[in-house]
Amino acid sequence: MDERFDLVYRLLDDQLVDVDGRRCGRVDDVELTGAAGEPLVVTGLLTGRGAYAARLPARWRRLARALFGRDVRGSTARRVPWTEVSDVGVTVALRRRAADLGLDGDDWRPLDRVPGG
Amino acid sequence: MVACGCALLAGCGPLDRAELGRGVESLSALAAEGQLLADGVVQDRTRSTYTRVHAGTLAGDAAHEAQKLADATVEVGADRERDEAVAVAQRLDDALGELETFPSGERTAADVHRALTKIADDLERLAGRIKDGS
Amino acid sequence: MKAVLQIALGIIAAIGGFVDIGDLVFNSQAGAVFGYELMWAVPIGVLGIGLYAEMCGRVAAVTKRPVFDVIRMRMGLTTGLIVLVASLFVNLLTVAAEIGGVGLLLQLFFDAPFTLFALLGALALATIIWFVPFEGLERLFGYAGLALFVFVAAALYLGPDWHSVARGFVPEAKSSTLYWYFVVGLVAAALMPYEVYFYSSGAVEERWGPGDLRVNRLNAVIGYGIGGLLSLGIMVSAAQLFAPAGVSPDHLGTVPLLAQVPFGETGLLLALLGMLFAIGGAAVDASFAGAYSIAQFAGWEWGKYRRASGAPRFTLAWLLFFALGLIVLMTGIDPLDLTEYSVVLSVVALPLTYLPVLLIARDRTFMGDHVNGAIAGSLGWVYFVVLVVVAVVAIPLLLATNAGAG
Repeated sequence: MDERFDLVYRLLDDQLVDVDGRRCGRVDDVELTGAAGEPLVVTGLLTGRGAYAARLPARWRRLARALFGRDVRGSTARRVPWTEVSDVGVTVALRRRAADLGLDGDDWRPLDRVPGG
Repeated sequence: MVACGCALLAGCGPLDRAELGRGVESLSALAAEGQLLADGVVQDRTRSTYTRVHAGTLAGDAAHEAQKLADATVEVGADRERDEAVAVAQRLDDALGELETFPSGERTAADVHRALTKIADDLERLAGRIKDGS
Repeated sequence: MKAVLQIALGIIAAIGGFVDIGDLVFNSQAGAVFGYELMWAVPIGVLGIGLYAEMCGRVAAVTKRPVFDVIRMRMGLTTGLIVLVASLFVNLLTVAAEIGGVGLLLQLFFDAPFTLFALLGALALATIIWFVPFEGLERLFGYAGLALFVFVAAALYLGPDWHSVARGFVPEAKSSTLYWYFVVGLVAAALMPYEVYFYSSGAVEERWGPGDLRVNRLNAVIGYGIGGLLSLGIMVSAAQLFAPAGVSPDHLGTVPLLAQVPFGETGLLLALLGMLFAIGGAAVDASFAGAYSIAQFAGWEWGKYRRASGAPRFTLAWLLFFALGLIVLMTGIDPLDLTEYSVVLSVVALPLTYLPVLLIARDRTFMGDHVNGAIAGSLGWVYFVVLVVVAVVAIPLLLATNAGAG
């Protein structure tokens, strides 16, 4: 990844891709850690619809929470530690498989058994 | 589009001459299309399923227009024209219905074509009277 | 040879998606009511979609990002969500209209109740999508849709007054609201957003890279150009056959007469077949476009190339679109009314989806050397203005003319 890049322009809302090349969500929010007066460090990414409500305008927050759910870590939103990110380019590449990072919520086994597709 | 915004609502205001004229225009369009359809059968250059289904659709339009005109309250002085329009619409419905029932009969189609030509002429005269009367 | 085949893909995709029920309805009505006077509106629409599709294709080939990926990334969550909701709504109306069109056409072939055929048609399409790979789908609907050239043949055969045709390409400022409603409708029908969502996602499905940029440009020019030719063919033949007789094409079943009158039963069959596959193909494209939009916005795995088990949410999404489209039809709304609304409302949402693509296409950070050149750049902005103007007047005109009822 580039040494310096714009967090909002290049990281936020970008596609997450795991080590196998599977799409597994978007960067729905960025986690910054630091205390007042100290440098803010990017420590992780949030992905999942639970992260939407916090980013929408205040006026719509209640509607958003009703539609997209609250931020329930591990369920409607998952945290990806920054250490799991291998590259930020066209997409945000992750070091491991989606399943290992808890990002395999997309999988819906019943469709596996239907022929064709 | 044949159906106007308040097609299904009776009593949406009196039908003025302009609207009556538009109704007659719709009927003319239907008659013209019916003639094209009948021509195809007369010349045996079309498919009977297509003729049947489409003639049925057009007949439905004519019947619907007849009902719409019959239900509407007309402005004073246009009563006779409206009644005549309804009568012509019913004839149109009948003629197209013939085509729907006999979609491959060349003789029937020729009769239907003649009937539609007469209907078209009557509608033209009626349209003229509606315009003049206003 | 590969290039020629890929050009064919574009042509096919263009014909499958470009001429849909909206184009058939608006072009035949425009010809019947205004003769040749509205011909100038078609090239405007064609140029617009060609430009938009070329940009989307270029962005997809260079950045591997299809349209909704671009929208979410460039506009952020809030704006992206608004655009998504608007697009999905309009897409749904379009899917419903196209399935309705398929139902109407099957009825003209086999004479059974419309609702039954809408259902059967949707099931048939869903089955075809399920078992046929992406390229096969494009070819199936595209090749069969080429039968629509019968309308161009009809237009030529009927011997138009070429002087009037030429004059029709010169826009005239008229005071009739119905005239301007048709201008909006013709441009909007040519510029349906679902076509570009489908096209750009298709570029990624086909694994396009910078080497495919020439093909992309040819697709945009030739493919949509041919679509424009088909539209003009319909309008010109309607101008010759319907206008003088006073026929008003208020039903989809009226349009095949344009081919039946000059060419008899063969013409009728070609018209019906071409319309069936063009509209069916559009139903497929539109429901996929909806599924692409949601999946790309949310970041889910997507694409026919992933197979159903590889992209389960995406698969469910397009199936749901078909189902919802059927439900909309079951409310009894006339498919042609649905067509007019979907076309007009689509153009209202269009500037929102166009702008992010334009912004990315001119951004060196993403495009490198493949940014908009001078032509694409300036035309791109000109069209943005055109689209905003059309979007603003669309609904007022729809209401003022009672959806073309006059």
